[in-house]
Amino acid sequence: MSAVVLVHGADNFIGSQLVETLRQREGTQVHAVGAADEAALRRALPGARAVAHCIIGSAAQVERSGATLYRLLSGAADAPRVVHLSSMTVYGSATGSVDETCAMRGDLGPYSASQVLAEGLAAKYGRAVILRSGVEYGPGCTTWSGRVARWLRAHRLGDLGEAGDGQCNLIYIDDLLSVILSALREPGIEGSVFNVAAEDKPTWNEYFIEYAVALGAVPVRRIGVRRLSVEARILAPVLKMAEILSGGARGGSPLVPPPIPASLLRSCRHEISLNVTRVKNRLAAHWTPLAEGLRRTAKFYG
Amino acid sequence: MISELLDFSSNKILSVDICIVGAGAAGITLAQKLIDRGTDVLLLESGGLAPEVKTQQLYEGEVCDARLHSPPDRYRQRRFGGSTTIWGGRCMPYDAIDFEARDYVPHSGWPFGLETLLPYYPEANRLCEAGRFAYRVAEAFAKPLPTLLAGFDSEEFSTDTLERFSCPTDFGRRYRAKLASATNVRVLLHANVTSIRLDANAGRVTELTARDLAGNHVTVRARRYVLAAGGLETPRLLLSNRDVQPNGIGNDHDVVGRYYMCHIAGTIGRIAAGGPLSNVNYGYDISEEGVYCRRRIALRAAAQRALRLGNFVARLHHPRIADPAHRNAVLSSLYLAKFLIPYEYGKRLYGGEAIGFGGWLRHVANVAAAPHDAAGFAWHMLRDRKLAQRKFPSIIIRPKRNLYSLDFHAEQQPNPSSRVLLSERADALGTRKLKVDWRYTEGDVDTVTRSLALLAQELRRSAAASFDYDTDSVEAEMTRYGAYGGHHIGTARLGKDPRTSVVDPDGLVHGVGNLYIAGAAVFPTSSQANPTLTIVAMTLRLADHLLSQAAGS
Repeated sequence: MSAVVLVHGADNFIGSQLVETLRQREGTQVHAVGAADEAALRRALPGARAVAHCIIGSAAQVERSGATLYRLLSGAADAPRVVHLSSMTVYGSATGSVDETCAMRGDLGPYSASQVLAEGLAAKYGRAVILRSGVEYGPGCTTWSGRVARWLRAHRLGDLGEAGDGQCNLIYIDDLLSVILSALREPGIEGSVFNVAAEDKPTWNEYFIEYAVALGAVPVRRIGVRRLSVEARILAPVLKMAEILSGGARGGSPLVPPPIPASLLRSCRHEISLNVTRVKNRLAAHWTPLAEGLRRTAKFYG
Repeated sequence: MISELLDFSSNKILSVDICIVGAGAAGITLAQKLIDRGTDVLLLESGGLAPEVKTQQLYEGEVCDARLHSPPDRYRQRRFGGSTTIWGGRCMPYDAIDFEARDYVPHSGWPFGLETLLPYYPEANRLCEAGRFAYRVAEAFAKPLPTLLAGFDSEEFSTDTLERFSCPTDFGRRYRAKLASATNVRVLLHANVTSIRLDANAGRVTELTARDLAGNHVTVRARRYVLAAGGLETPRLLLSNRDVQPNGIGNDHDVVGRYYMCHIAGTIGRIAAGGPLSNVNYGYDISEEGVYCRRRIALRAAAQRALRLGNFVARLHHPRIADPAHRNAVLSSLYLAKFLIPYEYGKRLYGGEAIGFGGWLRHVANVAAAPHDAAGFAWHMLRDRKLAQRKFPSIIIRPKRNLYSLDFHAEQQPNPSSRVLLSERADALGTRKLKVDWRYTEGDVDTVTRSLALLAQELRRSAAASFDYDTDSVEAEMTRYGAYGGHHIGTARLGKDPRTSVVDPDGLVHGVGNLYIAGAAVFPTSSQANPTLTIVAMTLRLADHLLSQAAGS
């Protein structure tokens, strides 16, 4: 992959990992551009043969960065392929086995709606490959591994009983990066959409229990629905406020225990299973076994 | 979805692929397994979501000897979740030997071995919320545990097998949301099956009638029917439907209701272990997944074969609570608080022994002598059992000295004379009540008697402890509380021969092409193991069979 790849969102975790992988593993020339840096994006786009659009953050950030990218690309003479990293949240409240043809409900709050909006722009652009990622975990994945490790250690999460029966559509960070690389390189897939998650899906309970065991945060505690409700309705707003006051609004504060948001608890009940047949067949995706992924993750956060 | 029978107008005919009767451990497991599998499923439950006196009264019946068996409306619950709403949560799989035809255990032998059930046990463990399917210490714990009984090493008994404890999981509460949101499963509450109609040849069930206590009824027509009503109610349903088969459904050879087994259990003797208190670790260990596990002293399979004994396990136990001579404040406080303990748990704790006012005063004195012990125990039970989501399973007393009694739990042999049958009286819906004639055999007494003697000998030989008990009281102690409550096994046993069994190896009633039975009723032998985990595993196997049949057709 000798052509120049522009990574939009290189200041996010996945973007930064992608930059490193492209440079070190693939020997690719990379333009690393921050999610909100429109000027740099404007400068780098003309020379890019492909763009990896990896925006993680607030709903506003997703909308703004997407709008900026596709506005700058509109009417470009030599339109590059865009690998557009989206999220399974576009399916919103859909349940059961979900493939790429399912309707995007985007009805799980602003973030979910913003991803639908951004995908709409990507689809209109016409040369985008959309990757709908599941739950990214692995070393450095703050949201689903770092925070969760803290909750498990504090025994605020564990075996949630009926509140943790939903499928956890995990994707190990290295596997996600490999899929992004394939999507940058594979010919003839512009306009395609891929769900990206491991084929074997544990429940959230299984994820939490196995992760806790890997972390040594044992014995895992059984946590009841009432306790979870207190976490989400009473503790979460208080901790969020404390987090903001201590200056760590995004990414958390080391001084304040991370709040467990109601949205996470909603996800843990959500029975949705990403069908990944297409990504497996077309992009030759492969999956790190959960036990191995958790071993590496626990080592990182240990 | 979950509905009430009342939601349907009378005379409504419901047509489905699979109709399951009974929403307990088996019925809920089966219904869950069929979610989104391309079949329409109807799960009929007699009760509602909460206990109801009038519905529970439908379980009332007679017992031939009240000393030997609790009333039929005890130890089982007629409500959504069934008896998992009150179970203790003890899980362990059957042993390989339990499936063997043993010439020294009459009528023993399953038509398949443990290997047939092994693929289903891990998922059964998950559904029971008993953690990983790991029933040996070395598999379940990363680090070695302190010895159960220091110095005890026996070729006859093992000490490294575990029982694991469910929360205990109330299947109704735990899996209600899943069933409620399933689009292909309908749970119908307050639906008591009052008739099962067969075609003229008795080759198929044509329809069921289900009624509520207010007089409403529906008719159910299904391709296949599964009775999952428990080891007592299932034979009652089979026996009480006689319009085509005069002896009851599947009962041409008078097997239905026979071979009724519970377990043989009791507490006996005095075990005195030498050395410091740390020499004995008889309580619970918590696995990494947070599951309470307990080791047991188990008679090895080789010893069972060599000595021609049934399966047998034992645990160290606290002294008898009712006798204030133990001088233990915790046990006395438990005695004084016995009015707070449910019947099903209290029976074996207190045994109905009358101790008089003097005895009661001595219990008070025991508590007064060490009130902090009693208070500490009360706090432990409040925090770790009453308020905990995963409950501390039973009473474990840390003694001042290494003195214990022995709690044993043994296999009961299949015996055609031990049976349930119909009484002459009928319940509020006109179905004849049950009459329980539970019996034990000389073989059962022999299993316990010689296992205890062998254990005493092995403890003495290894110099780990002394075990003194009245050898003449073994039969009295193993029947002191009667049949072990809640384990209703063997009343519609599984086998290849219709003359000695009710269902075939797939659980299909011999001769009736679309009527299956799930639950412990089909177990040909009782093992030493509590039945729930195996009920769930067997039901998962039945689900696979039903799905493969559906795919084939």
